[in-house]
Amino acid sequence: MSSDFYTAFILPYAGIIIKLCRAYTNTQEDFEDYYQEVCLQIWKSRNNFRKESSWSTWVYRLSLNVCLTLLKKHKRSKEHFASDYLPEIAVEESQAFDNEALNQLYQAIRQLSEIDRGVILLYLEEKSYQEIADITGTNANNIGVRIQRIKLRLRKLLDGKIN
Amino acid sequence: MEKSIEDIWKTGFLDSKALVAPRVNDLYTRKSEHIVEKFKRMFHFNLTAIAIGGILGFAGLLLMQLPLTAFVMATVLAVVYIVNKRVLNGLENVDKSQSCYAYLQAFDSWMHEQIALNARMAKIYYPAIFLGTVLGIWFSPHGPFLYGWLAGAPGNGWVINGIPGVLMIPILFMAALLWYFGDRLYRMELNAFYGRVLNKLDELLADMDKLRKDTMT
Repeated sequence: MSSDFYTAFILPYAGIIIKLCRAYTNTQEDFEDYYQEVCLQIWKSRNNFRKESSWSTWVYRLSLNVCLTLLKKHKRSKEHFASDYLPEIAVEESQAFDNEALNQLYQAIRQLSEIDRGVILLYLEEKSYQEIADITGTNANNIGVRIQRIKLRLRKLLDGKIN
Repeated sequence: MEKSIEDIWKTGFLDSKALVAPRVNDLYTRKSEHIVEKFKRMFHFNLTAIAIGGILGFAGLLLMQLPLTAFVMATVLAVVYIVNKRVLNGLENVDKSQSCYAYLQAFDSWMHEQIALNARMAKIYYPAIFLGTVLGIWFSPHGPFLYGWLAGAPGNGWVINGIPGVLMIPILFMAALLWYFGDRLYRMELNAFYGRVLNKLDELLADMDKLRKDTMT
């Protein structure tokens, strides 16, 4: 991957990728792996971008798909040794950002289902319902209800932690 | 007052340090290590299976009163085991301190060498196992069953070293076929067992090659 491509087409959208990767990982090491894999996949798939959507929407979709794929792979390889990873999660997941409230929010987001994580991140990034539906492959008619349900769940998870 | 989720999100990301991208480097190092380790584990598992299978097979064939077959099978598997154990030890000599691209290339050439070696061996051990099985049965206490079965066959009077020519011709023909197609049979077996890892290795090398070329331009 040329540094020009990275600087011009990935770096301006690094925020999107970071936010997504953080929601699907528990440790700094995993986060960096996911981030790198997403960048690599963007570079590898760049010729598949058909300009049917904006570059940022395409980057979102691809990042989400990469995260979901990696998460599945991770689950398969770790499921027999889940207990080995618990202390690592507990230590690192609260240290990703300087902002404590944001860390708590991420901790709550990580407890959602895989698709719900993507949906709420897109909502928080102020994507339209149609875009959220397109990116996550869900039905646009139900997105509003789904978001309300997710927000309620997050509120419950955060309740008592953030004022 | 409780902050809304939207507020937490917005204020949390106001700090530009929250979104500092990690450095993208050594993209393939972990992937390379992972694929080589995976292959080593599979190779090791396969060798252990050959050793255990060889011992159990030897005992089983002796119990079935097929000592010649047992001897041939055990010899073939022992040779395959020893040669491949040495080949696997050779993998440890591949320099891990080099770049992951060079490391994977070294691994790839090691892989091609071991495949070529095993393909050459397969041309010998497939016919050897076949001949060992057929001749083992012929010269075992089960032999008379075959004598009786061949008694009515035309030309059964033609005997070479105690074996009827009518049996010898198809046996030699089959052994020749196994010799001729031995390497292809081995490669089919290889693909069934290691196919996914080998494809992944090719894919990884192709990606890295492309990545390097793109970086240079």
